[in-house]
Amino acid sequence: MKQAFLPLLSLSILVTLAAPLHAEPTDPLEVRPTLVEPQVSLPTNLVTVPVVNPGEYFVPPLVDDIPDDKTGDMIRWGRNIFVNTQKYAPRYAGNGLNCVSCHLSEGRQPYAAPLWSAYPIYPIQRNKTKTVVTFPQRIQDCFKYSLDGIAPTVDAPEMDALVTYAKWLSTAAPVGVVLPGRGFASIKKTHDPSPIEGEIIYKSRCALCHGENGEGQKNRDGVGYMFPPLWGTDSFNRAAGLNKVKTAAQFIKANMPLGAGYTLNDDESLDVAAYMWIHFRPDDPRKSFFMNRFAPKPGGAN
Amino acid sequence: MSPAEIKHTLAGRFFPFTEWLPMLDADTIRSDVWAGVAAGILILPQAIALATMAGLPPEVGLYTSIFPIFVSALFGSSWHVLSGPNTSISVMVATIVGAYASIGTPDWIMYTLTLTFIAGAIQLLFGILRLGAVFNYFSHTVMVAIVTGVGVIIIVQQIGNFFGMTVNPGEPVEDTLYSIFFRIPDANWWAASLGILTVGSGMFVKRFFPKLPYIIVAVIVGMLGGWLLDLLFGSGNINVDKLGYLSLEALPLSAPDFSPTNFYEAAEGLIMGGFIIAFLGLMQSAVIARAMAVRSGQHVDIDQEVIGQGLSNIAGSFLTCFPSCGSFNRSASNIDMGGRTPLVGIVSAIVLALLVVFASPVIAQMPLSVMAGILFLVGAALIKVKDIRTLLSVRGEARISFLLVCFTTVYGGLQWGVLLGIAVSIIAYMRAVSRPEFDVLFENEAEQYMPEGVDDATVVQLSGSLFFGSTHTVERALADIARDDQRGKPLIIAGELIDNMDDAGVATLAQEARKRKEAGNGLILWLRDHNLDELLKRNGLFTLLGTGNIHYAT
Repeated sequence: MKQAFLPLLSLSILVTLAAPLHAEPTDPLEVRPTLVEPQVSLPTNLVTVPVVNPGEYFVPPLVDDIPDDKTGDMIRWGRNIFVNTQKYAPRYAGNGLNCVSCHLSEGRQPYAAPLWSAYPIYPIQRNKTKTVVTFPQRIQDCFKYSLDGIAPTVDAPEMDALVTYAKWLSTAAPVGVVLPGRGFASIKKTHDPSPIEGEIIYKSRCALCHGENGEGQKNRDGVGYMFPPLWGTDSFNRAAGLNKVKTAAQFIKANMPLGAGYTLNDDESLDVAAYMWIHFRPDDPRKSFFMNRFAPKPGGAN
Repeated sequence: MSPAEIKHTLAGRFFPFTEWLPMLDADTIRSDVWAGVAAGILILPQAIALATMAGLPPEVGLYTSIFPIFVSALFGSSWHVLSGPNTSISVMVATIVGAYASIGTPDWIMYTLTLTFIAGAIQLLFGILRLGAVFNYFSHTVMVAIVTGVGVIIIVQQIGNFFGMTVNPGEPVEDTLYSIFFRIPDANWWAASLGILTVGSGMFVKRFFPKLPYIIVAVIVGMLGGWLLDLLFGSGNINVDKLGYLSLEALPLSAPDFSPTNFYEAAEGLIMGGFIIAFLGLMQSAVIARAMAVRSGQHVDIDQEVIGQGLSNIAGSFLTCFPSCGSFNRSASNIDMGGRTPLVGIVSAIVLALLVVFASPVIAQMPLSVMAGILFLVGAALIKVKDIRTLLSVRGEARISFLLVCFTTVYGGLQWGVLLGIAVSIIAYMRAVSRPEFDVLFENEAEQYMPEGVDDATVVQLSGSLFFGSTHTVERALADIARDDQRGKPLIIAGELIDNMDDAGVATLAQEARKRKEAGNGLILWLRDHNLDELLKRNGLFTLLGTGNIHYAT
């Protein structure tokens, strides 16, 4: 008995020491659970949070690392609002979208306007408003335009929760530095985008999830969307960033179809974006009722 | 009492609604339903505004205007009091819970529910122990002072919303005003104009059309103004903060949280706060119930009313409500509208729920500055200038206690105002009862008390209570009289108006009698009846004075 013990011990020590040397290379698509419960049957990789190779993009902390105190409660609340705005902030959402409809992977995905690239650089001057805006003011614009709703006040508790979540996602990110992965992917426009081309691409590549008429796909319980509507009354309004053909194309290029980003080229992305743009969506709140009826639709210029 | 009667009162005690249910006939139901519809519409803006004051989502205010009303309508005593959210209590909740959670967070709601339960349990205890009468002793002056303080707090808190800007919460009044003064250039004048429109239309209607519910008119005018601005200039340009879409659940089940992790750190403050809120709620409910009883002629059992309030708060804590109590303006308008039974409360709750469900998209567009304007009107209505002027014109006690309590409420916080108010009430009460009245009688008045054989005597009429608290005053008065007559004459105490006496009081009389005896004169006591004989005998006053020197008026 005692004689067999020593070789076993030395073997186990050897294995422990040798293990790191033979470790597998890091899987670029590490599977992590998300808050989103699949409501329709999907291949698993569509509801995972992809992790890029270390060093390429900033990596926000794990969900399991949320501290277990009041700050943690606030972070969890902010994350809930972010992922399921319809349930946790129904007071402010005017359409069927959630924050996570555009800020994919709970706001972590590079080139899907990740929160960790935004929080550290605010306050900053925005071209849209021509003024310096703070981070809560920027979130207000999201609610007003992209969620076509009513902005929470800058001191609203929901706002505090969202800011706390963004701050937590930016843990250890450098302040004031434009990080790679910020905003959307860059795009080169080589021809005038054609909605006719876009319709063909849309029907073949996008309509499966977003519907023939861009109506999206609801969860099976009928509450909220699994795949967000792209136009119509339940989608973002004319003042949202994604109503601009170029911005929408930048988003589409890097992220669409979901889980298969960069499969459309620049021209195809622009065509799809143009096809989205020509459809009806709610009024621009920055213009009066009459200007919305008679003035040209914004967002198509660039 | 016959067995049938006992059964009747038992049913009345545990199920007070059995007393008014048989009253419902077609006519009563019709008038009650109309009064209920009016009450349901009337509470909507206040429910939302008061929930915001308490730092809670507006939905909680609506739940508080729905569920507790059912319970207190069924278990309260008064047929006309309508419960619901209350201004002072909203401010109080924010003050108490503010120490333990960030405003509006789920933690905040959790602590509020616990607070509601504690307040309800304390109220229920008060009712079961039949301590409702305590609230009759709460001084009117203090009540006016606290309510005035709440009015000031509300107005100051809402100045930021009124001008469409964010102010630091929880600053002293003068700091808020000072910072507002310098930030006026940053104000959102679109929002401010809507607020001014609301306040202006409210005041106009109140002044020239007193029949109309001015709060409702002000809300409608303000919201129409906001809608017009959106239409003409675009909501994205005018940037007026708005309320947002409300989503009610049919049964918003919740529970007070007494788990160690959440409750222990806040236990002290919550229990203390629960007591203050219970007291504050009952004080107002009792005052309202009494006022309504005077107007309607119904006999109100204060203890039953207290039980009803307690039960409604306990039930509220399981249905996402913050503490509620009787509401004065709603109850008064209920009587004006011709409400006769608590059916009004039940109808108003149902109407409110329907209104929120079907008018939600309209209510969502209510600008916060309009809501601030409403709260300005509510707060201004709490500051009753006429009452305050009367109180301030009175020299002495009333003026001092009013200023003290009002100042403490505004600067120290409502909870200290209430505690100080309770103390001031007790002190004022003690001072009042501990000062029995002394009147020296002369001529004819004096002679009627002189028994045969006494020609010259000092006659003093003593009225009030002669107890441990008042002996000091009595001793001083007797000493004054002794200095005057050098104890050269017998002293006659005409005490038919003495309500009650205790051992200490008798001892004071005995001491004086002994001194008079040493000086060679007696003390003659007049009493109303034989009720106090036992006490006097026990303390040996009969032997000291001599039985012949105690006379009875009857």
